[in-house]
Amino acid sequence: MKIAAVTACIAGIAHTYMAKSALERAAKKRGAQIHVETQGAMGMEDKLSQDEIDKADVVIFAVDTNVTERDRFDNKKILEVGTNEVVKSADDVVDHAYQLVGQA
Amino acid sequence: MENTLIDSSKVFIENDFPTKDDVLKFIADKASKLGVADSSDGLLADLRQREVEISTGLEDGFAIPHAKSSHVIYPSVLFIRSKTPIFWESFDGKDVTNILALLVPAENKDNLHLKMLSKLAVSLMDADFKSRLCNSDSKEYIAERILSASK
Repeated sequence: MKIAAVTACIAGIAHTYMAKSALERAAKKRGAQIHVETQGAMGMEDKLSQDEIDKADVVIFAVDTNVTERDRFDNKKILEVGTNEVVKSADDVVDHAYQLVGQA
Repeated sequence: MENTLIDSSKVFIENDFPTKDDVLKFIADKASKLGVADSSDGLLADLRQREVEISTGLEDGFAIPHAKSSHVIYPSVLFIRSKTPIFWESFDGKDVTNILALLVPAENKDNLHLKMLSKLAVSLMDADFKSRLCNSDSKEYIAERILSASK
């Protein structure tokens, strides 16, 4: 299972980065590969390549605001949640991502 | 004086706050007295606005109110402990006693400090770090732990 994710919160100071850490932990626990791009106050970091996006089975947006360059993800299966949901229960969010692609 | 992210002058552990808004007022007032913010009222409005958008409560009695504000002069962390737990919408429904205010200027000229604040936020997902902070009554120790969690 390959997951591409983007995290972004309103101030871009805290939740963006907490959500990245939570998603990486949860994905590791389930044995999924994940790459998380952050869109915070420091701009885009760990930017996903188009190749990584194309090869991902599912995309997770953990965002409280708009995703920058969203058109990169056209035609992908996207699970969109708030950053708080991910920081609170990343395991459930990753489970939902599996369900979305029929790998529950 | 050097503008440090946090030192013992930014740690407040002897106060009592009836509500979340009293904490936000205290943060704005202290930030302006410490020279971190140029306007107490301006910063307060920005802190309140952030709470309206989404609450900043975490788990285990911790919260991270924050603002990226034109009234903040340099990036800073304030640590506040309330003797009485405060109602603050949190992930686990617990009231909050330990508060880390993250203050950042609106115009970002300083990725180093932003990086430190993001590392600090991630550290707050670690139970050991949180228990070290709640179990200490030393302002110097608390400031030191917060600074080292940001590096």
